Amino acid sequence: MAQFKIQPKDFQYQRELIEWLTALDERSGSEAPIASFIKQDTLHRLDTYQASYLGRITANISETIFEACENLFGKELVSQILASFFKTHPPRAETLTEAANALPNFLRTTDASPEAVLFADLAELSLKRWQILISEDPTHTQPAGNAPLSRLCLQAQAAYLSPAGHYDLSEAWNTAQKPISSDVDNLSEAIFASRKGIIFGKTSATEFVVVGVPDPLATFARALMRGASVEMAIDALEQSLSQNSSELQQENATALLQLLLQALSTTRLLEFR
Amino acid sequence: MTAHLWGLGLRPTHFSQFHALPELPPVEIMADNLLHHRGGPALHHTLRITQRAPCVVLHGIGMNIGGAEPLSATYLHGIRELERLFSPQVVSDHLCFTQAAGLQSYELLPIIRNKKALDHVVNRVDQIQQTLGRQFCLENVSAYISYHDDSIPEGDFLNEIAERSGCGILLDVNNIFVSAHNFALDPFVEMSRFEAKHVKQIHVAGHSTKDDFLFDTHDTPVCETVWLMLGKFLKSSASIPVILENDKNDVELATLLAELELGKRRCNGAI
Repeated sequence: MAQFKIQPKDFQYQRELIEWLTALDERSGSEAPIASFIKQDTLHRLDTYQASYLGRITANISETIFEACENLFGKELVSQILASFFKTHPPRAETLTEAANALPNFLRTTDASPEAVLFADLAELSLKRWQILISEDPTHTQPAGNAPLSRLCLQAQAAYLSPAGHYDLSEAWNTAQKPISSDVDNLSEAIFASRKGIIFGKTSATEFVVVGVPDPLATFARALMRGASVEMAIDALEQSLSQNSSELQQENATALLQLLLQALSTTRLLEFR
Repeated sequence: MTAHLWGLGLRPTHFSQFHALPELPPVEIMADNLLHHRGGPALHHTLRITQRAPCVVLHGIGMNIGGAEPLSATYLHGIRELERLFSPQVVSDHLCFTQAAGLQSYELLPIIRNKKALDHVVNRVDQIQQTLGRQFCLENVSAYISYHDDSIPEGDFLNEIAERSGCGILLDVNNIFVSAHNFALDPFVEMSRFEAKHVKQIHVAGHSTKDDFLFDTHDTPVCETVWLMLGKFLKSSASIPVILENDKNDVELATLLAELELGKRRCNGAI
């Protein structure tokens, strides 16, 4: 095997190139320190690497991970936001998805407008959805049997519960699944009419479940997250319903019930994170 | 002429069309699209498709083989897991760097080709092959810039790495064509530098024109000269996978299969 010692100066050009690339400043590559390493007759092509990098961290990730944001806010705005984010948070993670994990908090700390909050929430949901998608698939085996509800705890396949915020998160998410032409302001009025959280889960490798969760049912789900048995969670739900029954909507209760029944029919049940 | 394995790069947009094919061509999996996936649709479909494919090859973009920083144990472990899962005929990544100073570019950036870089890459290929427990292959990249300190032609550089480390070469014919054009070199001469004995897989793809140079976009049909270069090379090559890459989302699988068939006939001298 070759014996050698790496000298930092031998790799200085790599550092210069990537620092310039990820800085995304207005400076052309020909004006940056990297220029001194590159032959003059090809120097003008350096900027194409930055254009390619910019496309990768904006358009590519926007189309895949942040499709919901793109549908609701438009490709151009999403690309601008991603470029702005990555300019201040140059990627260090192996995957762009990991690198984008700090995007929701970045948005929340830079803009407090309702639209920015909605964008941040959808971005966070998009990242959670991706984590669930690539997690281990649920295994469908025999029903859990005759375990009494007092001893039956739900745990297992990846799922995510976002509690209700100040608006209907599930309505916003569902609306953002298809490109729309109406403007965000109109949508905001609709979604702020009620409050609802959301549960993400998957029932197989290719089936993804999205359930809107009114506050009372979120109480039920949160009890399960804390490790309560199904019986204890139902008790918590009953208490919550008696205090706040007007918020319970039958369609969501039915959907959540279906999800829970599906979970109960497997030996690997639901784990809310 | 040797019967080569003519196949396609597997893209999510074509999953359902692959499922519908009665007989599958060889397929290339993009490792980074499945890295650290424990489940989900991409893994599900890729497994189903590759189980029916006559040959599978695994191709990555994030090894950072020409970089200065230590190879990522997480990345390497992820590649090893995929290698165990799919048992590919070839495992490859690019002769380039993608990260430096702790920053990721996700771009295939050209390295300076000199003696020091050669030693460095040989050392890193050794590490990869020891971890994977098998041969690894390096692909030549398209380049748009060249460095003052470049001193070894790309083909010679890769031959020597292969000779010293025992790795193979994934020969991207379009990349040779693009780089040769960009640096005013003869693509046939550059192609002839690569020793056939080291080449374990071929890539062909399309490119676009930008200002005074060509850019490797993978979104156009393979050009006539690239097919000519490939046909000439394959005459002296053993049976290896030849993979057509196309990253354009709205191209039908049937179009790519037709292009692959056309290329095959051109290379076999039927056209």
